[in-house]
Amino acid sequence: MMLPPGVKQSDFSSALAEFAKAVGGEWVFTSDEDLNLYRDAYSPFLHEAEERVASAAVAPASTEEVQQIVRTANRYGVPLYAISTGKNLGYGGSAPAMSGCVVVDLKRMNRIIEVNEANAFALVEPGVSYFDLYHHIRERKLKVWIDCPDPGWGSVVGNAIDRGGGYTSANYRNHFDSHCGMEVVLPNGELLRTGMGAIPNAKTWQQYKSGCGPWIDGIFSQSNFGIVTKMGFWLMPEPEAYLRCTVTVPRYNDLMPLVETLNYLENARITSGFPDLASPLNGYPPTGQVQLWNESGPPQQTPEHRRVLAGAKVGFSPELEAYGIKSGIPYWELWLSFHGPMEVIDAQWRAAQRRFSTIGGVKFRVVDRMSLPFDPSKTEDYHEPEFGIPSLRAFSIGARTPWNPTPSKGHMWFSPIIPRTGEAIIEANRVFAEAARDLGMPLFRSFAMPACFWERSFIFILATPVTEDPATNKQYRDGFQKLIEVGGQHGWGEYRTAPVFQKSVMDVYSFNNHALQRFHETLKDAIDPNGILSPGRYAIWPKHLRGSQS
Amino acid sequence: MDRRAFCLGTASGIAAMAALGGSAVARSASDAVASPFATVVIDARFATGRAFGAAAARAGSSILTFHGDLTQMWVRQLKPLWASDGGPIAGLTTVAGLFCLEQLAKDHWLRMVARTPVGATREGPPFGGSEGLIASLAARRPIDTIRPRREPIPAAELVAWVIAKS
Repeated sequence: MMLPPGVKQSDFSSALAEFAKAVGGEWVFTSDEDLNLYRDAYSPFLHEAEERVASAAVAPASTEEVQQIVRTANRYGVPLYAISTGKNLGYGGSAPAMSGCVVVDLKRMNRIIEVNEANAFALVEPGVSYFDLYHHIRERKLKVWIDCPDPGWGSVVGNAIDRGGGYTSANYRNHFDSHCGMEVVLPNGELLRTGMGAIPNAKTWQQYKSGCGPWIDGIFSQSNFGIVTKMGFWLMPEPEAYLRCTVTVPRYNDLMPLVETLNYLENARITSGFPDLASPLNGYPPTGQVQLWNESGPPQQTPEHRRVLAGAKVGFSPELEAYGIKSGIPYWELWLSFHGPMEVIDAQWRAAQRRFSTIGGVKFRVVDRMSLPFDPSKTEDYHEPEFGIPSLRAFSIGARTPWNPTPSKGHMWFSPIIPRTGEAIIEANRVFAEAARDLGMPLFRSFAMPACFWERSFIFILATPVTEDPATNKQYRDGFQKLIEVGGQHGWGEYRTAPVFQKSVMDVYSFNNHALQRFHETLKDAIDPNGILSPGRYAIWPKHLRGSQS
Repeated sequence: MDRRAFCLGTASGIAAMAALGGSAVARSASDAVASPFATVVIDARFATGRAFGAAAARAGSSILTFHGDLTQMWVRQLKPLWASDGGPIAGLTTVAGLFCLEQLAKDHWLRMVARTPVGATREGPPFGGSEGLIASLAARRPIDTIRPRREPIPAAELVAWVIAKS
């Protein structure tokens, strides 16, 4: 049996016995076959000794059991690593940041404590998946939407704590931002409630976020300062109608006013749904249609189109632009969606068109205009998460195709945040495509478009494949680290990353001699002096492991 | 479709399934044997999957079908079954479909315990390698309940598998 670093066998055995006493022996896992379930299916160390693995796992069913586990871990110095459902593949999955940790698996804590339709909020435990919450709402015919990632199999709490995103309205797409109130087991086993929840018998825990005094919720996300055992979320009132439209423009430089106008419209809440950018001329799909393109392949290109595209640099050449204009293929395409009463969204679309009309050659198209809810049999016609419907459709592809080169072995997400401007899209393409080419990284085919999950920034979500070949994986890991550095040199940083890369990513956040990282460590030392909670998560190491592990 | 590869794969897969099921016995081609699996999952886009499902149905298994997107099958049928500890489940799906099911099975502390590559295939003539499987499983149910949809079928790596507690 693997031991946690620095823990004696006798202490580890005693801790496991006490865990079993707290949760029941059948919920403590130590066999290899059980622990295999906690390996990261997309580990960049596939088949290598450096893969991060657990020494044991324990699955509590209540907050009280979590508290007992944490207190026991403190007594014996056993490091824990909490997961909700462990489905954040590409960002670490259910494996610990440090080998030898005991995984605290929270998926038995799966109570939906409240869904309030009248004021559109929910309170859930970490084992509740998006599917669970969605079906709970549908079965009760409540008129609220969730916002879910794609695929939607993960934990509502876990995804928010990992700061994931979704596809509905800007108010809800940022899953951490849309939370309201937490319950947290601190590293000493004490129970804390944040925001209004700090008031005994609070009446507005899920209705006002910050309470009074310092608002500390953020320190429990992407961190190791506590185990979140309950979390509130604001939900989206079910809209009456839905309108989806495209705005297309013909020239390369039209990207700048296109993005600037989008920003105005979204920041002013004139458009409400997930905006989606594509480049038909560069052969790049909107985020919401990647699945469709993977299934069927992209639209066919003529030989002339392929020829001029091959000659383009950073997505541009005069020939490519001329070809697009001649052939009626837009350089850029923006998908907009609107939720609300039909008369309101029609008016919003008219206002949006007026704003975009300043761009020469702009064209508009209404793709869908319908009352909601739509016929469930038509669900497959849409990208389900844009309607708050969780899906597993991403796994419907079986084939390794030119459009889907890594269907099953996995990937590491490279996901830098960049400014929300057309200039930044072009600059990031130039910088990262150049670096990726030099590093032999298969990240960019021609030109990549960012996603619009966040309100005031763009994010690239680029899959670095995990292969069966350790040498190739090493090359890609090294390249990934280099891309992080290159991004940092340009003032860009990742929003989230797998444990393997968390140190490199946090090293980029180095203003004033790593003041932020030093503050994290000061906090860690103060509230977790034994260093038992998730050591190494986002490069926050307890004092006794600092330097040796990092 | 490589018929030999499938027959070999199927034979070892069925042996694994029989071993897991305990009561199943691989006998001569003419013998009918009850399926060790109460439930079998198939991706019905593929003739191979439909043939596998038909054979399992005749042997008494309940067949859960999906066509690429397994969301509804999992939500409505498989998830409740796993939640109620429905015993070992066999299947024939794409590798990607199996990967998804493996991850979902973890929610119930279930794991893949047997896996047999069936080869790459496209939609084509009726699957001809199922005789051994059909002979090994009892014929109890009509087979025409599993119909292909008329939609483009991708080339895919198919795999037969068993997911169980241990």
